[in-house]
Amino acid sequence: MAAKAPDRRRNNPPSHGTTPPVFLSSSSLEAAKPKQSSRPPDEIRKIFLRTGLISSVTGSSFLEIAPLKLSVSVLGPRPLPRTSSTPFAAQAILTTEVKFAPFASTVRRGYLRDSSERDLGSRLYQALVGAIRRELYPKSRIEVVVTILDSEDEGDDVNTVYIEEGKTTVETKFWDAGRSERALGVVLAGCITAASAALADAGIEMFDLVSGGVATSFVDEANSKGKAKGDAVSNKLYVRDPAFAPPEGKTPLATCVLGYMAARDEISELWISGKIGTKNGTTEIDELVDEAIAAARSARGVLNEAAKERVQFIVDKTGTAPPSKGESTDVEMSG
Amino acid sequence: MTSLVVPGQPLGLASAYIPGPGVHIFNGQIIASLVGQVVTSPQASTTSTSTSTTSSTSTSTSKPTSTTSIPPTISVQKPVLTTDEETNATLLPEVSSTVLCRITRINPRQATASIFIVNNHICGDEFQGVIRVQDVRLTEVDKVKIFNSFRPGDIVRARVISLGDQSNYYLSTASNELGVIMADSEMGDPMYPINWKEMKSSRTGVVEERKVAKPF
Amino acid sequence: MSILTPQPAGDSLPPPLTFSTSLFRQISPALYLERHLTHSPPTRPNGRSPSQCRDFTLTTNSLSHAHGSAVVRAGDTAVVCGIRGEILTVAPGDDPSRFESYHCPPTSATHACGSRGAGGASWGGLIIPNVELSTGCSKKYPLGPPGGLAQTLSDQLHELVNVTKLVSLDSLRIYDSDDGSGSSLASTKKIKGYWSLYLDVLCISLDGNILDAAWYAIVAALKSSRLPLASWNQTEERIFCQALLNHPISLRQSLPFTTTFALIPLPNSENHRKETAILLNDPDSYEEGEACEILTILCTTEFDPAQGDSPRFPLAGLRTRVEKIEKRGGWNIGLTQIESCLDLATSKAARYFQSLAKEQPAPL
Repeated sequence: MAAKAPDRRRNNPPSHGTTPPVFLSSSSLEAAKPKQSSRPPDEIRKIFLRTGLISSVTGSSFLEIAPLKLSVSVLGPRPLPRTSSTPFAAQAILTTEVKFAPFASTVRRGYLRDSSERDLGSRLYQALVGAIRRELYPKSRIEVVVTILDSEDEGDDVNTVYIEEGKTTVETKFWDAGRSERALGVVLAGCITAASAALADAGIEMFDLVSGGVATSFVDEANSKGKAKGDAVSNKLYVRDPAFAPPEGKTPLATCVLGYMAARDEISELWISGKIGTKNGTTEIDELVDEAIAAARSARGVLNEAAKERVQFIVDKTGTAPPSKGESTDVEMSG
Repeated sequence: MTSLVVPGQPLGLASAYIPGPGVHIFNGQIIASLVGQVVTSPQASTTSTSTSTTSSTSTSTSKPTSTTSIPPTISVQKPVLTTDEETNATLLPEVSSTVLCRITRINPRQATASIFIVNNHICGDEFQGVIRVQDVRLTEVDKVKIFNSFRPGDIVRARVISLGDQSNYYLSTASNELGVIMADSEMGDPMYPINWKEMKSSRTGVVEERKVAKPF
Repeated sequence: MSILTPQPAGDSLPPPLTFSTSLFRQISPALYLERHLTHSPPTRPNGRSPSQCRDFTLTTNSLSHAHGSAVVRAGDTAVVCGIRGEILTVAPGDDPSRFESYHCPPTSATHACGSRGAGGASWGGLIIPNVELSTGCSKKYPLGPPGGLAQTLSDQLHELVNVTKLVSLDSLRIYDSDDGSGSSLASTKKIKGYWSLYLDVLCISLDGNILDAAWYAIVAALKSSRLPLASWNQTEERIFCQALLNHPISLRQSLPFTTTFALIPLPNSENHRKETAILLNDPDSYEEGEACEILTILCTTEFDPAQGDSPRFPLAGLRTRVEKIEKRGGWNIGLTQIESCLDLATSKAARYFQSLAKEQPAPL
């Protein structure tokens, strides 16, 4: 990394600049195999989701899915910034910010937001903005801030140099198309679920909770190499909430991430990337989307419980119910 | 054990209730938009005579009495701890809200204030408002001087008269019970009101002019 | 104590203006604090006594990509510190020794290894601490680029790193042989590069006294860090690392810890000329808002070899020294008050040390 102009507001490295460590492996065979999960493809990883851990903001949540750890704060509704450029807003203005901690990924990230963080932020905005009853909060803004503390990404093989027969190669072993999208997809799905929990914790009125779901379609490596058509469709393996490493002998085709409002059966944000065929009409897309919806439904159950957490705590603690309370037993939640 | 609802959860038919706070209507259904407890009021239909057992809180929501002319209001309330009963982080000032604010700066035309309490609830953030010179009091409006009504640091009870522009709420103190409720003198001592336009320092006895709120 | 009435002293016609506790807390923080602290015995609004600090928890090495990490939670203040080593290659003809000293006096620590230009920016040394507060940690702290508080904290931490000489910089050397373990022949080996340590502290939740939490997180994270073994590769002419993380960062023997106090002025109503004040240990943000002075004491703690206690679970057998006292603002704190704070700071440092010793070091 060449020395750019120093950031005036932070402590800076020596003017030479520093480089991330590069690893040396005597043989690419030795490279650590990514761990294969024993999880069935239609099962999502265990989600740990808590709300209300940050006392000085309106709402907050903390989410953990295996290595992914992120914290969400909801600030506001608060006054609009006092700049003359801000027009009067009859509805609340939602802003979303997603930031990786410098130590959250294999290569150290800077403090300035990069394009992938901006992209995640705008996708998170799309997922949430339709769910919030913004008309109830005129002339205000609601800020959702996501800080990602740890995430699953390429791993150290990005920076690994392999020496074979005295020659060095920089080819990485587990390269496949769309790997970063898959990693970001899992992050985005986590952001959506956690942000909904934080909004609910804040007591901001919403039409529905939005949960994030992600699914990837895989084919056999042989199929993809031989460019086999026809059969490939039937051989597809759909994995919900995919771990970074593809299943043994499989090659990923496409990844779908979505924000899903289970009670209204609406998709608020959809992101499909990768190779997806259109030969059979839209069935391939439909199948992939259905898998992602199923993943989102599974996450919704966790989300519902987490959203209730703080309120339940208060109810238990005070032991008081509001007067003339009615118990609604005829409700049925999907997801 | 009380059951809690989450946003998106249907609570009943829209025809059977009047929607209150914390719910919205979608596809003819009342849907919760908050996490909280369901509250219906009045408890059951006021006119119903047969179902006196409805006071036991459990059946009224799912089976409201159809003979009612006015359906009960249904709402979702977010319970709060008694220690922060009076905080409501999502509260915004509205027209005709009574607010408490701290004067931040003054000029001959208006006093700028920072609103921090709305309708006796502490709001999550401070909102900026202005009291224009014509809104300070009800009578003799042309004789009002901001300088003799408010000073920076005063705590003022006021009423929101308009949402104003993008940055300010417009406030008014043109009523007896509105105006300065706490103020320090120029020396920094607390003062107490002696009449509707003067306050007196408790230590030095110095009298300063203010638009004083009538003590309750 | 549910109704607090700000009543004028003496005179007739006190207005029956009353507020509930939580409203009063908002309206007049100074008076609210004063009412609590002049109570007998003095109790802070958060329920602690003036000399009582918050309980803290420490978790180390819970992050997968950092070379070392620590999560510190003290009350409602929570910080995460992640440490990443990156490699600084020494260019031929460079004098490496300039990276290896903390030589600068503490006040000009930031001028250390390079030109702090007119703009205020500077290139730093090998250890680069930064604090990020724009994480939505508090509604009082704006999002966006680091504001005054974040910049001050980053600078304070940088100064603490320098003044305590926390890391022995020669342990960050990377030599030109495969054996990078600094043997007695070190002088004959050529230094090819250095590990440069980024200490990134993210505040997740902010409720006062972030300096203590951030510094403790840094010390704990450094202590738990394991860098990969790095060495110069002659054929490729660059520095390579081995995949195993087994190169600990060597810290100084006695570990430094900070303890911060806030001084709250108490205007004495009987005799207004004489102001008294009260010192609060480990202030929260509400108390910090009313503080007129902040006192930070830096203590260093180590095992006392004279008292052979088990190093794993030390109860006694600690030797603690005061290394630095820093006070910002005002002139109210007297020597006697500082003395009483020293005791509190020493015992706090011992607790920090014990809690750190209990954390399992990362397996080699």
